[in-house]
Amino acid sequence: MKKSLRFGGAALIALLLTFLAACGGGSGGSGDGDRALRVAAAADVSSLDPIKGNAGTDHVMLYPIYDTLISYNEGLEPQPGLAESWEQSSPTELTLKLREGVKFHDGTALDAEAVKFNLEREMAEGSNIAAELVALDSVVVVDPTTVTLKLKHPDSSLLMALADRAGMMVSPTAAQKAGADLGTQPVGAGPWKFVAWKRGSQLKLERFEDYWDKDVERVAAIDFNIVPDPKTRATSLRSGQQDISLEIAPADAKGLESASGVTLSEHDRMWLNQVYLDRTSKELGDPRVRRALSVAIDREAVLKSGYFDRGAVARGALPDDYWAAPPESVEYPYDPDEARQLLREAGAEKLSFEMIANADSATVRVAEILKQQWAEVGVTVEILPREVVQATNDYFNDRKAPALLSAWTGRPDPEATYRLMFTAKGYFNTSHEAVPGIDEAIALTDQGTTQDERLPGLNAIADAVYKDTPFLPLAFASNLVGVRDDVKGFQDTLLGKPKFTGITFD
Amino acid sequence: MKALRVVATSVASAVPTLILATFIVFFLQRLIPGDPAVALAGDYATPERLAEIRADLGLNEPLLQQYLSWLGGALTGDLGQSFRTGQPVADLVFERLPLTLILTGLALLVAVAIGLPAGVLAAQRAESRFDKFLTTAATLGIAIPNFWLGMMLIVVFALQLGWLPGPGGPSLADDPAEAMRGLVMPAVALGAVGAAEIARQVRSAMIENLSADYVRTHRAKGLPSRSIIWKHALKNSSLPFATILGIQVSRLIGSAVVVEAVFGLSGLGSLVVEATNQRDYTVIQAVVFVAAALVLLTNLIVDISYRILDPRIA
Repeated sequence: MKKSLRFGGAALIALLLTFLAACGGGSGGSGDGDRALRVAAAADVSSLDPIKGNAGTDHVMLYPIYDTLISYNEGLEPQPGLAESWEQSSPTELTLKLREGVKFHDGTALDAEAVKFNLEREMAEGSNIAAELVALDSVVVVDPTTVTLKLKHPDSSLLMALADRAGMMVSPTAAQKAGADLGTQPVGAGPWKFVAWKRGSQLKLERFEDYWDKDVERVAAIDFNIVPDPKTRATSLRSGQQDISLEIAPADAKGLESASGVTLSEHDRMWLNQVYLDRTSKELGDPRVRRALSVAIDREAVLKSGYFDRGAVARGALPDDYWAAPPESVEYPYDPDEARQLLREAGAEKLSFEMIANADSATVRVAEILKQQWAEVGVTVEILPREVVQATNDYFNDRKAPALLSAWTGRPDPEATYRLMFTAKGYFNTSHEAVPGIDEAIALTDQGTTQDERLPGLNAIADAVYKDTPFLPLAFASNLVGVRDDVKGFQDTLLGKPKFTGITFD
Repeated sequence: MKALRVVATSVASAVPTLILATFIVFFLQRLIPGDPAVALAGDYATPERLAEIRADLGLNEPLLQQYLSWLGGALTGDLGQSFRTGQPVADLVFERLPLTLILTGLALLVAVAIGLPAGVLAAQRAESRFDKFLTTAATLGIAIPNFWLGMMLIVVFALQLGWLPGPGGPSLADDPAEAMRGLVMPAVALGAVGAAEIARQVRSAMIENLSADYVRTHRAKGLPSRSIIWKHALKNSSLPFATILGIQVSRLIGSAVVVEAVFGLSGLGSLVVEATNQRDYTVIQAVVFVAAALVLLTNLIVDISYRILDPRIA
């Protein structure tokens, strides 16, 4: 009797465990071709209405619901989307030829009128993306499958903006009925339709049977599970709770590679880790000082210690395997002697400044490496780790420090990246003064419509940026995605925002 | 009648505390640097859009006025709308609350099931080898951070042995049985510190009681040792036990934030972390309101239990 009491507590726990173990029975459901694809994402979608959202990480959850007018391939070149072809008769006129017979999830026809409705909705008050369509003057419905976009001034980045949020078509019927509620009741024309959304926890989608592309492979359903902690995303995948885990941290990559049943997908992407610089600040106002900081950085070492060697060194704002990569002359070779000399010439041998850094462990690690490398050339930097929203606020709005170590998530069009970071009106240019020569170079780019025609202009932009050093590009860290072995057909792109079409279960 | 009066006075004193808590949190969260408009506009920010959002959210109004209109709403059952999504905050909170309640409930069960017998046994054999082992284990239990324990449990029981489901499994609504299995490790990780605390408190209270005169009398008249320990000494040790239990509840609700993150659970903890990152003030405010209400409710229960356990307390 005494004995049984003594072990009462342990027995109770054991009983509970057995009970729970017995309840679980046959989990896993392998071999079931109709089960949902379980995807662990780092952050929830900020809004399911494309014009209300705010984060570059939203797209993985928006693309399945909303097809875009223009699509893109692995290297981010424009491909037919809802528009099966397009024509730019002049730099201020873009005509889209839409697919016939495409329907939204609620049965509404996706025709020229629907496109006009969408673009006008995107330019109206309350839209987060109005700035991407500043050049758009009017939308003309030519016939039910033809629509012409008339521009106020040339803007060759508009086409690829239609592969981003601006191209995500929402059902006009649903938008008019829902008003502000579209963010919780989304209706698009994408390969999967909305089922349920528990904020911050799960988004459930199911296959849209009337999808226009009958040939593409699609799983029966997708469950996006929100798992913010990177370690937990990795262990969740390894223990079989997920089929795909997005945004694997470089620190967890090795563990996944050696684990059984799981494969690590490593893909280049345009997500740029960089230091934003305030080019009109008193500490960093001299271009020689900014160049000195740049050539004092041993980028190979940063890549190795900061990102576990998973990625590529950054020369400019765009990666090397991209069609709009900067010309070869754009490069800041590691040269501490040159850095010291430039600082001497600028009279800034004892340079000291503050740098805000996102407070996540990876960014702080990179900040420490930079601090040490700059110390070698006599520069003192004080690191101010801040949580993301505060960092953004302190740097871009309040201008509390002349530098910010953070990232740029990229845009489908190269010009958009340059414009947002380096022109006078770009929000991500905290000095609000244009980099010398950039406006002319952008105008040159906009004269062309094809990639070949635009490239000289884009090279000129990259060159103007290089000469002024308004930022310190560090590395394009790879997009690391963990995939279970029974998932076939996962594909990533340079944008690092994978779509889930083409995936099947083994 | 007396019990009723106790409840009434306790509730009456709880309301001002609750209001004070919301007041403090309201102003504290506004001290967190960072602008909700910046969080809302994110990658697509422009100065015009930021100004538009601030005006929409009513952030340009004086702070005190914002607080009073929130309080007015809260007292009439309207916790407001999420800055981020426009959804009613009450829906968000009550969607997450069950998971956190079940998790903390299970953790409390773990804490009591391990801590209580361990404390009693240790007291019974004070200064024995078992007692020394237990005291060391309890000290370790208090010192080990619950997130670390959680990660170790995952590595051993989910990844190596495969006995229990790993983090990020199905929700309670989708597959209750599997979800409950998934809560075993989080409950152990969360309850471990509690078990250690309870074991220590129960041990010292029991040692005190076991050396008391009435225990000697019981022994002298030949009452079996089992009855002395579990019936008489334990009952007299129940006041400190009730106190530590009450403290554990508030601690568990707080610690759930970390454990939920490690196990990929979406309860109140992850909601408040997410809301803080997004500066979604109304959501933070509502979670604190609910958590404070839970803690006050626990204190009330502890207060009442004192009077039941010990009739000498008026």
